[in-house]
Amino acid sequence: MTRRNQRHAEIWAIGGGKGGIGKSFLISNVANYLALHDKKVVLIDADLGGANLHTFFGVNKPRTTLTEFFDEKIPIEALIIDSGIQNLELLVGAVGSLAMDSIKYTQKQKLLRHIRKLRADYILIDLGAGTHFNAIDTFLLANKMIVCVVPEIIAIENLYYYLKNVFYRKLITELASHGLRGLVPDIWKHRRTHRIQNLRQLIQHLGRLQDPVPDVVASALKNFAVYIVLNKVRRRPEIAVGSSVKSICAKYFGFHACYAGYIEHDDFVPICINKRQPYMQAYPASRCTQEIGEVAENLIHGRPFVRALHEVS
Amino acid sequence: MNRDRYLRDFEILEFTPDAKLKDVRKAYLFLQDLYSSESIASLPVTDELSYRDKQSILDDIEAAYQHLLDFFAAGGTKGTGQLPPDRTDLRELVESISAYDGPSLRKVRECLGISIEDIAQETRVPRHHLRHIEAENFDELPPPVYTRGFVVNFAEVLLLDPQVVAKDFMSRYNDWRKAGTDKPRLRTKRSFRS
Ligand SMILES: Nc1ncnc2c1ncn2[C@@H]1O[C@H](COP(=O)(O)OP(=O)(O)O)[C@@H](O)[C@H]1O
Ligand SMILES: [Mg+2]
Repeated sequence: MTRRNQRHAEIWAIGGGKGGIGKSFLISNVANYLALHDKKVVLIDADLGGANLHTFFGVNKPRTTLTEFFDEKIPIEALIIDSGIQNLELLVGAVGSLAMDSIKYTQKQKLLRHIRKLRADYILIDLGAGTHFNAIDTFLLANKMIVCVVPEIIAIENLYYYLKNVFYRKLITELASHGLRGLVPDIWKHRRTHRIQNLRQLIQHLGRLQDPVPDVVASALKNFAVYIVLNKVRRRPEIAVGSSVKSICAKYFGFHACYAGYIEHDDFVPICINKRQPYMQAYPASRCTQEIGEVAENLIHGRPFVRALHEVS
Repeated sequence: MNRDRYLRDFEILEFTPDAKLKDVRKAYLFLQDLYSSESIASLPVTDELSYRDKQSILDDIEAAYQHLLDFFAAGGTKGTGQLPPDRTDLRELVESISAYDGPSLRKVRECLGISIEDIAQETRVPRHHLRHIEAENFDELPPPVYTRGFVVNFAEVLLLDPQVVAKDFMSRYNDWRKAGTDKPRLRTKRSFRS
């Protein structure tokens, strides 16, 4: 056994927001970047609405389905297809079930257990835009939670909505593991009497309850780290939108987010997709490719994009 | 005065504690603008908080900035690692300046406890230019476009508004240049060679 096999893979998930903002483009190119840097990557398409990751690599879907995996007819590896790029494998088709509510809890656990055991350095999951709690739970299980946004008001609104849902769900599950499953939904249901209007006030309210609630909430806040990537940037001042959104997450909602970087709009992106050509392969020296690399490095090291404020002035 | 207070100030201005002096001002201006005007990032959440909560966000930003200015004025965490006492003289000094000139830049720099070397390192502006700016040795300074850039860099490190400082200083420099055009200028070529 090599060292790589003994270590658990790091899981990154991208989800939420709005359709068409570039989540799949971003995650497939980050996967490509990691693969180019000698990391073994499995990229999973778990977008219920529109599984399309294979298109970014110009390959076809496998014929095997998840049902066969659940019936123990095939191992998880049989769902994996070659991406055409060294070190990068795809797990596509029917895996949308990760975000589906028809799938049984035990089946989801089994699937995740098998996914975790895949031989890889990184497992990247595209969850699509869904806000169903099954998708959110998978998002919360990731070592790195990534969200994408574009400099448009509706996309930003969607992002806030998703992040609030994610954090609300995080509070519920963290408290559930301390035997307080119903606490948050109960308080929220009676929010009028508690004079709670928003997530920030809910967090403040929880912080005043008896032990161990304040500690659980404080540690949930501390461990919660979402990485924001700004896509389709067309003008330099737009770069600051990422900093603004990050700041509002902290000051309005009370949780920490990290602005991992931006990617500019490039007309060649859709052209590549239509030609079924991986973007990074076609344009290895473009600014977009460089920015994707910068985002990937920041994600690897868990650090923010530092030029953010300087870019605007 | 305690360390927690400083760390909280950094958190409010959304910095890690290794932030540079000149970044603090940028962060402050950025946040002040974000929370006092409407933008695509803030519009979707306008109804999220009450007017009072929003005002308190702005107040916190203001207080953190003023407090950090004092912190840096007293030398930051450099040296002994001891936290400095509260100081308000920097604010008073800056408020007393009606128009920036070389000597006032020097006063602010000394009040902040920063050396010419520190500034040269941070801005990459050669130290003799910084000294000539402070001393207003206009005849030693390069042409206005370059000098203006140096003054902007200088002002940023001093946490001053670079546009205001550049405007004040350059009007003095340009006055001197206008006054000098009648006389033959002996050293005009020197600045290009050095
Ligand atoms: N940086 C970009 N520049 C130009 N077009 C982009 C960029 N990112 C994404 N796109 C385009 O936006 C469309 C939607 O992207 P996709 O990744 O499928 O979004 P999502 O997964 O969020 O629904 C794609 O067809 C792609 O061509
Ligand atoms: Mg997609």
